[in-house]
Amino acid sequence: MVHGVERKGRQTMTAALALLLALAAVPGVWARGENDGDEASPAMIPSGGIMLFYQSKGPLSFVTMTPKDRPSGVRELGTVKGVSCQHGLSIPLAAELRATSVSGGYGNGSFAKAVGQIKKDRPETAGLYDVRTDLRVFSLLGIYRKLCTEVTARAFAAS
Amino acid sequence: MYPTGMKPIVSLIALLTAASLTSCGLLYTDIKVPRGYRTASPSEVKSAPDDPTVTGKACNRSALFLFAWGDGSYAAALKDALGSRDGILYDARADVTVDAYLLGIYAKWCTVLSGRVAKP
Repeated sequence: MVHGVERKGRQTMTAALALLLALAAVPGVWARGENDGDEASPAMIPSGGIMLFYQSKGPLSFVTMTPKDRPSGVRELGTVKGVSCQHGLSIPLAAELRATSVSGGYGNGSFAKAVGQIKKDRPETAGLYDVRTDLRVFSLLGIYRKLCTEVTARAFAAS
Repeated sequence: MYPTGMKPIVSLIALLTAASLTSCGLLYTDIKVPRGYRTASPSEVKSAPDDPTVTGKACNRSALFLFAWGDGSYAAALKDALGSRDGILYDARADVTVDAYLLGIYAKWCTVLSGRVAKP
């Protein structure tokens, strides 16, 4: 009887663990962005199983300008876009659903790099406003993953 | 707790549940999801009483829990809302609509952005 209870508990734990692992295996896609408050959630490439290497940068917070914050007398540059990406690999060690995997993550998906890319494309950019930030989630068989930060905004240059 | 041979099924159900909860496909995923958009208030733009009210929608889709695709980003929703106009959205509301059919075998997850358009 005691063994039966233990076994039941173990199996329940196994099922719960399987769900947690499954949730960890897929990229997080909830819209948990930044607000005017003091809470911020990073968006990092997920890494599960046995992590061998992880060197990644991701977006955390970006309190952007609204049209009112734009200085007067500046020149409009129109809509611009910058993208920065993190990459991840997760290789299962056995051909089964709950197999342990070795994983790794690398890349720079930060706001800094996305904004830097905009400034590289349009060197005259002095600032951004009306900024939309989105995440692109790409996954192939759960083995290769890419998580990109996309910054779309209106830009202005000093007149 | 589970009869012999049920464990893989339970694991599969757990994976499918996770996939449906996160709008991801287990085999292939290429989606865009909204993260942040600090929209303007009426006092922050050149607003006028006759500014038009617009609505834009951008969607991600998933099928069979295996494939997920689409562009449900703020950028796409705003592009849809503005159309050919050149303007700035203010007094904006962002909502999410989820349509799922047959236990989530086909699901559509949309970002709906509505607001008024001011001149840039």
